[in-house]
Amino acid sequence: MSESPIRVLLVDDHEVVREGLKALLNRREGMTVVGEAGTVAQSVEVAVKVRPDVVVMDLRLPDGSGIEACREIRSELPGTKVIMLTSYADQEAVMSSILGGASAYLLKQTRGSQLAEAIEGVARGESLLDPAVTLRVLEEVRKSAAGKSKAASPEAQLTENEQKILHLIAEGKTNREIAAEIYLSDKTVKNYVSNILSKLNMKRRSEAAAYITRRDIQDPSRNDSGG
Amino acid sequence: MAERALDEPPSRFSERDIEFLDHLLQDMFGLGLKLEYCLLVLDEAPAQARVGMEDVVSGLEGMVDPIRAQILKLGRSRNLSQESTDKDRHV
Repeated sequence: MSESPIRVLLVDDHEVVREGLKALLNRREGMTVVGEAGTVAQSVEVAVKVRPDVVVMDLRLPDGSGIEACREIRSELPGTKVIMLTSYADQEAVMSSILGGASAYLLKQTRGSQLAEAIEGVARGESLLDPAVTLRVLEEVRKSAAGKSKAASPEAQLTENEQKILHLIAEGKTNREIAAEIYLSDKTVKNYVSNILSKLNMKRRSEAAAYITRRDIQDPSRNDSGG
Repeated sequence: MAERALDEPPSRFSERDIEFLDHLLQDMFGLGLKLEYCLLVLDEAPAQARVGMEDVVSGLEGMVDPIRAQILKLGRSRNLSQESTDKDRHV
């Protein structure tokens, strides 16, 4: 009892690339190339007609982007997986491809045999990123996560002056000392402190000081108030 | 001198030049795949491998002329820009 072969659609505007891929993939056991296309429009048309299991898609096509084609094919055929195969490890393209529903992003330096393995993996439901682009994606994810955590921190609600005063409170300074340091009146500093405590949902300045100390211990890189 | 060398590439590489390089990259990738295929079938189907390798040789030959023309074009544009810089200096 043999399983039915993985049906592959090749989308690339360079015939020499399609020819090379077709020769290699057709030779692979359990895999067959069922269609070819060189443009976004053709790729959607052929995909709907041949209903491939996996589409190997170039990123740059003459009438648009492979990401656009990926989105359209996935909306027509949700069961079809798309592998982006491109020459460039462009961070934005990687993220857009992932968001566009691509299961894999591989560079055109990948050997044909590795690509065949990637097609088999994707057909089984796996996701793959070329090692050359993984680092960039992780950087992007980290940056995005850092942005979110910064925005979510209670301190993000404070104005620049309030943040400065909060750090002076954490250093154990009195309102008078803070006022002298930042050239404000005692009364103004008192108002600032009251606003800070209210925004941080705290009752006492000692709580605010403890909050800053705890935060700096957990993430020393954020202790940028000194020096 | 080094600063000028760094300044030159952006002005010398047009969108068409980039397209040209991209095209070369695609051709090299495609020919590489074909060679990989030839290696795989070499023992079981040497005649087929031979045909494939001849295709690859033709493909590589086809790449040489455009590359040569591009190098000449870049060389000419560099000489022209050098001439105009020299003229500016003399004015």
